[in-house]
Amino acid sequence: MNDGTAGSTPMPVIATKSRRPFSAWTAYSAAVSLILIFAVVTPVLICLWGSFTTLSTMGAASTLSGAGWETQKSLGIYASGARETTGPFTLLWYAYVFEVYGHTIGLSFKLAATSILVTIVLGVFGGYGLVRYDFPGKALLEEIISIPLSLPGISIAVALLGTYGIIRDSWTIILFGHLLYTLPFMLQSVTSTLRSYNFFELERAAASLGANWFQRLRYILLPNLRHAIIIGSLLVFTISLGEFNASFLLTTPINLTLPASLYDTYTNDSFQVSSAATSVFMLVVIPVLMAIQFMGGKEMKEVGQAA
Amino acid sequence: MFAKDRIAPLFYILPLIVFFMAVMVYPFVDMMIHGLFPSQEMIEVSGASEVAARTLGWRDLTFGNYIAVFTDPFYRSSLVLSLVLSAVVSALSIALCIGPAWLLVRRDFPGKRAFRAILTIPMAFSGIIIGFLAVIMIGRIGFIPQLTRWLVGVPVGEALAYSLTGLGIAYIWFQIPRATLTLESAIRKFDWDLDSAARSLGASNWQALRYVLLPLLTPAIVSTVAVTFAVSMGSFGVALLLLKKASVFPLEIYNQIYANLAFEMAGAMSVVLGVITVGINYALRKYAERYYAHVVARG
Repeated sequence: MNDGTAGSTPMPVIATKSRRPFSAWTAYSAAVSLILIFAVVTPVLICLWGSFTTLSTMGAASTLSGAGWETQKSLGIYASGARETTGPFTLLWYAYVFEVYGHTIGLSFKLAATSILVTIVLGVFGGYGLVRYDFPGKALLEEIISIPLSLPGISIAVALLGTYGIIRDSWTIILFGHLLYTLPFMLQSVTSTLRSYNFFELERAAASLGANWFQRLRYILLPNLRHAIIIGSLLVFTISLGEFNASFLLTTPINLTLPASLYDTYTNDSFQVSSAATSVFMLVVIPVLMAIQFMGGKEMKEVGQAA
Repeated sequence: MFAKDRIAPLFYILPLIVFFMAVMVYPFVDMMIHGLFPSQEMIEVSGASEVAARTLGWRDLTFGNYIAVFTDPFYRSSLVLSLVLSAVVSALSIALCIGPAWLLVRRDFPGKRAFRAILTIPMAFSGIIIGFLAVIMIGRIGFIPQLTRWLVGVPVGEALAYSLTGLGIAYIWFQIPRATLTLESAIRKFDWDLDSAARSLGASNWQALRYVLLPLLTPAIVSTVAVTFAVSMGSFGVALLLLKKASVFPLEIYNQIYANLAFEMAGAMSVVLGVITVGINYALRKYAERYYAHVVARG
C-alpha cells in the first residue's frame, strides 16, 4: 500500500517487499476502473448518437414521412419505412420531443426552480439554527432530517397520496416529494460550511458594532454561504430534475414530470425519440454534475435517493 | 455567545420542523393508520359484506395487511427478492468500486478529476433512464450482444436486461457513484501510519491485510452498504421498465395502487418497506460510527 510514499519511507527494504502483491491490487483497481468508465460512458454516447440518427437501429426503424408524424403525433416503435430520408443525421427527434413532451420539460424546470428557492430559505435558516443553537430534541431533529436519504421514494409517494390526495390535480403535491428529497442536500451543504470555520465570531463582531439582524444576514451570513448555496442549488437542481421514485405515482397526465414522461417515450415511441428525450435530460444534467465535481463539492459524498 | 435565548432557535428551526412534520412524519403516520383498515380483498374474503356497506370504525382495525406482507407468498416473495437483490448488489458494487475508490485516494494520475466526474454521472439518473440504458447495452439487440456477435460470432448477453441478472447489473450501475464516493471518503479517513507501523514491525502482506487493513476497512464497507442497500431497496424505475415476470417490492407497491387500487395494502407495504429500509440504514450507520470510534480509541 505504500507504493505512493515509498520514496519517503525510511525503510526502503520493506517498502520494496510490499510492492509486488499490491501491484496486482493496483492492476485490479485499474482494470475495474476502466470497465466502469466504459460501462458509464458507452450507453450515454449511444443514446446521444441515437438521438440524432435516422438510421434504423436497435431494431426500431423510425419514419418521419406520412401521417404518423403529422396527425398521430406518435411515431410508434415499429413504424416501419424510410431510412435516411433526410440524410444520416437529423434534429427532428428533438423537435418531436419538444413539441409532444415540451410541457413536461417545463414542469420539471418549474419544480426544480421552486425546489431551489424553497430549500435555500429552509436550508439557510434551518441550517443556521441547527449549527448555532443547542436545544432539546436537536439530535432527534438531525436524525429526522437525514431520514429522506434512506427512505424509499415510493413509500413517501403513497403517504403523500393518502394524505394530500385531494390536491393531486395541482403540482404542489409533486413539489412536496421533491422538496423532501432535495432539502437534506441543501442543509448538508449549508451546515458543513457553517461548521468549517468560526463563522459566529464574525457575526458577533458585527453585532457588537451595531449591525441589526437584517444587516448581519445580508452582509455576513449570505456572502459567507455563497459557495455553499451555489453548490447546494446545483445538487437540488440535478436531484429534482431526475427525481422519479417519489414523483411517478404523484404525476397525472396533465402534471407530468420529465422523468415520468421518459417512461411514456420508452413504452410508446421509437428508439430515436426515446434517445432524444433522454438526451435532453442528460445534456442538462451532466454539465451540472461536472460543474459540481469541479467546484469541489464535498457534499456529493453524502449520497441519497436519486435513483 | 449571545444572550441565552429560547425564542431565537425556535425562529430558525420551526419552519424546518413544520416542513418535516407536514411532508414526511404526518403523512407516514397517517399511512400507518390507513394500513390498519381492512383492504377490499379482506372484506370480500371474510364475506362480511355488511362491513363494506357501513363506514369503517375503530372496531374494524386489523393488522391483517401488515401480517399479509410477511405471510402471503405473493408479497413475501417480492420482499425477499428485494432484500436479496439489494444485499447482492451492495456486495458486488463494493467489490468493484473499492478499486476506483482506492485509486482516487492513494494514486495520482492525470485526469483524476475527470475520472471521478465520469463515475458520478449515474448519480443523477433516475431508475427509468438506467433501465433504458440497460436495454441499449444488454437488450435483445443491445450494444454488447451486437459487439460480441461482430467480434466472436456469438452474441453475449442477449436480452440479459430483462432477466434478474440484468436487473442486478443495472442496479450496480447506479451504485457506482454511491459506492465509490462513500468508500473514497471512508478510505480517506484511514490512519496509514498503522499500516506502515505494522510493516516496519515485520508484518507480511497477509498479516497487514488481516490485522490492520480489514479492521480499518470494516466501517468503510458497513457505511457503504448502509447507502447502497437503502438505494437498491427503494429503486423501482429500473424494474418498472425491465421486469415482466418477477417483481421487486417497490414495484409491487406501485402495482397495488395502479392496478388494484388497494390503498390499504399499498400503505401497509409502504410502511414495511420504509421501516425496514430506514431501520437497516440507521443500524448500519450507527454500527460504523461506533466501530470507527472504537478502533480509533484503541489506537
